[in-house]
Order: sequence, then C-alpha cells, then structure tokens
Amino acid sequence: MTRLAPTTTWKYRRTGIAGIVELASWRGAGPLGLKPHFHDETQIVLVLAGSRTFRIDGATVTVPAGHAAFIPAGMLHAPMATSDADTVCLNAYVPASHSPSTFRISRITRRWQTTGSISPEQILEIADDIASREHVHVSTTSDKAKLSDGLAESAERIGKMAARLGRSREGFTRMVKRQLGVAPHAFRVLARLNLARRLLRQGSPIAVAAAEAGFSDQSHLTRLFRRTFGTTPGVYWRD
Amino acid sequence: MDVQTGALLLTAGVAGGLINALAGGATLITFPAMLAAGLPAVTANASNAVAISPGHLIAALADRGKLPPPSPRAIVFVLVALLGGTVGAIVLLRLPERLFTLPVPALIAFATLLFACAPQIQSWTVKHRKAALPSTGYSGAVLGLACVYGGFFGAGLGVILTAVLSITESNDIRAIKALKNLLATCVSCAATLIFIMQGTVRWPETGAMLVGAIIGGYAGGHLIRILPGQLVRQFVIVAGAAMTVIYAARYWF
Repeated sequence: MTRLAPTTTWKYRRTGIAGIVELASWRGAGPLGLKPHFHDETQIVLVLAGSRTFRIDGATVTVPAGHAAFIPAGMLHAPMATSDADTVCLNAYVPASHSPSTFRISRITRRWQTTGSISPEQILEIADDIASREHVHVSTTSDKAKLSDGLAESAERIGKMAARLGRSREGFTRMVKRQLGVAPHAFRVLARLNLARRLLRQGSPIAVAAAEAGFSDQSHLTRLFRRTFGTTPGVYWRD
Repeated sequence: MDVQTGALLLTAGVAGGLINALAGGATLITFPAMLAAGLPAVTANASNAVAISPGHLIAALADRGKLPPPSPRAIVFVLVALLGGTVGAIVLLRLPERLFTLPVPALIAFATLLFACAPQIQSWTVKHRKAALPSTGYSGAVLGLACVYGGFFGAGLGVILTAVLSITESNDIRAIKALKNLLATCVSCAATLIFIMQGTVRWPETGAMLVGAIIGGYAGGHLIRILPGQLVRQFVIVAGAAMTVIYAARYWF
C-alpha cells in the first residue's frame, strides 16, 4: 500500500511493477500551475480528494475527487493552480500502448474506500478497465504522429524543415501549432524534457542527462524541468 | 474555478432562472453550461440539478393556494414522486461515466422535442381524456416512470408531468399546474438529497449557478409582462436543437 505524505512539489516514485512506469503524488493545498506539456506515456490522474483542473485543447477540464482522468501519450495539457484547500492526487504513468485515443474521465469512487491509500495493482486494474472499453486503435500513423516524430527526432533547423516541406517558416509554425498545440521550438523542448526525464529515470547523472537531451547546461534543464514537471531533476533522480 | 468559468455559470444561471420563470426548460441551457465549465457529465448533471432546484420550490410555493386538498390520491402521488426521484438519482450515480455520456445527446434531443411539441401533446391529452379517471395505481405507475426520468436527467419533466396529469386528473389546468410543480419539487428534492449525500455535487460551480438562478428567477417574475413566454419558448427550442447537434458531434463522432 502507498501512503501519501504531505507535499509541496510533485513526488515521483518508480514502482518496480511491469505496466507502471512511475507514480507521482501530491497531498496538500491545491497543486501549483505548470507549463503546458505532454508525456511519452499515458498519464492517469487519480483524484482522491479536492480536485484538479487542466487546460486541454483550449478548454478547461475539472477532475473532481473520485474521478480518474486519462491523458493520452503526446496530448498537450496544462495543469492549473486550484484553490481547493486539500488535494490528494496520484498520477500513474503507464506505457503508451495502454492509451485511450482521447482525453476521458471516469469515476473510481467505488474501487477503494480509504482515501490516500491505493495499491499499484488497483491502478493497473483501472487502466486495464479503460483500455478494454476502448476500440483497439492499432496505430496513430496520422500526419500528427509523423510531424511530432520528425520534430523530436531530428535536430534540423525549423526553417530548413519548413523549406523541405515546401512551406514558409510562418506557415510551418502555424501548421505545427494547429496539429500539436505548441510552436515547433516549444515542442522540441518538451520532447527533450521527456528524454531527460527518461534518462534520469534510468539513472543517468543530471549533467549527463542535460547534455544528452541537448540542454545548454544543468541549470537550464533544472529550471524548465521544475516549471513543467513540478519538481527538480535532483529530487526526481534521488527518488 | 477561474473568473471566466464563474461568469459563464452565473450568466447561464440567470438565463436558466428567467427561462424557468417564463417558459420552463432551463436545463437545456444550464446543463450544457456545466459541461462547458469542464465538469464530468455525471457531476455536471447532479450539480445542475442542485443549482436549479430552488426554481421548482419557488414555483410550487407561489401556487400553493391552488393545490388539491391532501386526498389519499395526492399523498400517493407525492410519495411516488419522492421514490421516483430517488430511484432516478441512484441509477444515475450507479452508471459508469461512459454509459451516461453516450445517451446525453439523445436525452437533450428528447427534451427539446418535448418542449417543441408541448402544445400538441397538451391538446392530444385533453382530447383523449376518458369520462372516468384512471385508478390511483395506474396513474401512480405512469407518474413513477416519469419521476424516475426526472431524477435521472430532469429536462422536460414539467412537460411530461403536465401531460400525464392532464389525462389522469380532472379538468382544472391551474390545479394541474400546481400539482405538477409540487411533484417536480418532490422529485428534485429527493434527487438533490441523494446527489449531495453521495458527494457528487461540485459546490463552487453549483454555487455560481445557484446565485444566477435565484437572480434570474426573481427577475423573471417581474419580466413576465414584458417578455412574451412564446418567444422564450422558441429560444429554448432553438438552443436545445443546437445543444443536441453540438453534443452529438462531441460524444458520438
């Protein structure tokens, strides 16, 4: 069982259980707002008390206590500051293969009675439950996936990439914004933050992760990491 | 809840209060507003029910002089309404989120149709009234079904109750309206109580809409001579049709 201690930053934790990449927990006054971001994994937001609010696709979404929200891998979302005095939230990151195709919310109240105490097995059960209700979508070989892979995997300059696709730089930026929700450069930074997070999770020292993920120095990574994921790389790495 | 969302809910509440005072059918505006505020569908439905419940109560109190004497038949109807509202609310809370969002566009479409056809339904029921009134058991069963729907979703409950009571009760339309308001209040109170006890109500959003609904309801009482009910009814029907299309696009395609 997982006991959640009071927090003022997001506390990340690896589970050692196949099927859950990691967990992040919050207990205390409403979480701070974070910069818009996405994850390489599907994020399951389990709200046990209080509420969470996100900006997704230009709309505000509230996840009240007793609900689980599913944020598909790669979907841009911005956690907003909430005023609820006491919020208990557990985020589970599961492999993208578990992914529902769209953002969705379901109720979880009856699955456990004791607030603040939930086992990884119960989280997996909830994830499987949602995945089994979904029509299996084999792959997302959409323009969107191609575009995001192209942006994340090459270091080609944005202007050059636009020219290769026969677009002006402005036209390319507009297209990326429409498809992925952020401008090309911001998208790349988010993809690199995800890479740095994966490297840290695997045990790379911060300086190495920063360099590998293409950040100019460790403090640059630290600053962006904290604003985006709600904790510092150092704390994330130690936990 | 941010300022923008609060303003949206307050405005929707004022509109809902006005509409309920003049024509009925506020849920077709206020429930989509709760969804637009970002609440999950079941929570939005429960919070909406709580936010607009004072409207029914005020209508019932205003008309209390026209209420039928507490005959055994009336008492049975009140008990049926309380039970129906409770059952409808429990069914709603038992249902997985997905099984509620799927029929939402159909529910909105159904309620909109009810409003659009209310005059026809009314004249049909008057024509088909039998010389002898149906038995209390039969009337109670039909009312019970309507009240389960009322606790579950609620939009258009007034139209259904008026139609059912026009067939089962004697001819005085004022008495029927008063009884309808009393039964709708019972349904709404029972459902509201369940929603609150189960913690399904989101209070910040509900509070904003509740304040708006009270302002709108109060203003509606004064505007009744200026704003033609027919115009408000047409507005509700157009809005309901638009909401049907919007939510069908969102939940079905």
